[in-house]
Amino acid sequence: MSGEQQLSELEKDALQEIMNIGFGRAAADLSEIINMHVILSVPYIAVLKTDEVISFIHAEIPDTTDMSMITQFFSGRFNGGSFLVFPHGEGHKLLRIFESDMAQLEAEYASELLEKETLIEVGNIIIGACVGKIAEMLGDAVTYAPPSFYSQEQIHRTLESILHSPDSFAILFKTVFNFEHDNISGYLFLVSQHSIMPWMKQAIADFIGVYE
Amino acid sequence: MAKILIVDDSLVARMSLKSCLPKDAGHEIQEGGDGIHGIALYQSFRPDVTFMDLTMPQMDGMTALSEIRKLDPTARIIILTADIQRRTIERVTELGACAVVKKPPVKEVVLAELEKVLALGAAT
Repeated sequence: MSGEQQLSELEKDALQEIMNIGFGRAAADLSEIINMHVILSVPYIAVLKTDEVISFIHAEIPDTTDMSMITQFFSGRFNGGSFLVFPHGEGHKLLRIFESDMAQLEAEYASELLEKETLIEVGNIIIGACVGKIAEMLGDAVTYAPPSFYSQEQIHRTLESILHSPDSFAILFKTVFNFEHDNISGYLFLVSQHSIMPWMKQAIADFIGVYE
Repeated sequence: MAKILIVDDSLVARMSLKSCLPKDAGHEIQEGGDGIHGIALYQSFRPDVTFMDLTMPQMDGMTALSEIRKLDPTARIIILTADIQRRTIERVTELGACAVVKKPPVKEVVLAELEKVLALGAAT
């Protein structure tokens, strides 16, 4: 990859800071809604071959037992896909946070449907706030496709079909979040096609330029 | 003129904060990239005010805040963070932070908080 295709250390630093602010916004929104504190982590940014993105996600989450995933695509000059992954039954645990609200609903709806709808809603809040803030800080505005839920057996096939594109590169953003007390963790991956790189580099330069 | 310590793992975040500080004020500024480095710099530099990020590798800002306040209970620390959850703000306030400023920093907000915190020191 040439220099124009890669991100410099300063550009990565700027994107990490932008993602940190974006996820901070998402955490604040979520904590207001579910009254639960979210512990943020330092984000990770990399430019990878698209098929390496799948290996990266699998390496990050080796135990895929009882995993669930929410995906949501966004489009604008900043465009791509968001993958919010709850490994190892974390999605079930998240339902407990809503337990008081759920009791009545459980009498009327199947638990699988409630889990799916809850995770979609949580995903929508996290992805919307995070991606929206990143786009805003890069001088863009995005629109969102409706979020989709995937259970464990669908995840691998879904990632393969979305991300498998040989000889193509993607910009990967990753952050891990933990809900305090209930020990629930999740992973948020944002994957953008490499074609946005020229725009992104300019947007980062404009962002940094304000501070120079 | 004040001695100001900035502790943040992001160079861009440190740049953004410095851009909010007036260049002609003669502030003496030192920078650290994580909590451990921040504590070491605090001891050697003895700043009037420290701006501290929370989400950092090695040692986070919450721990560094607590450690610095143990070393110097009069330390004046402003938290500059993307983590604007109510509970986070309550926790850093309990640990002795003077103020919390939301990222990205806005010049007017930074200067107002800096002025307040410096006045706090002058009064004691």
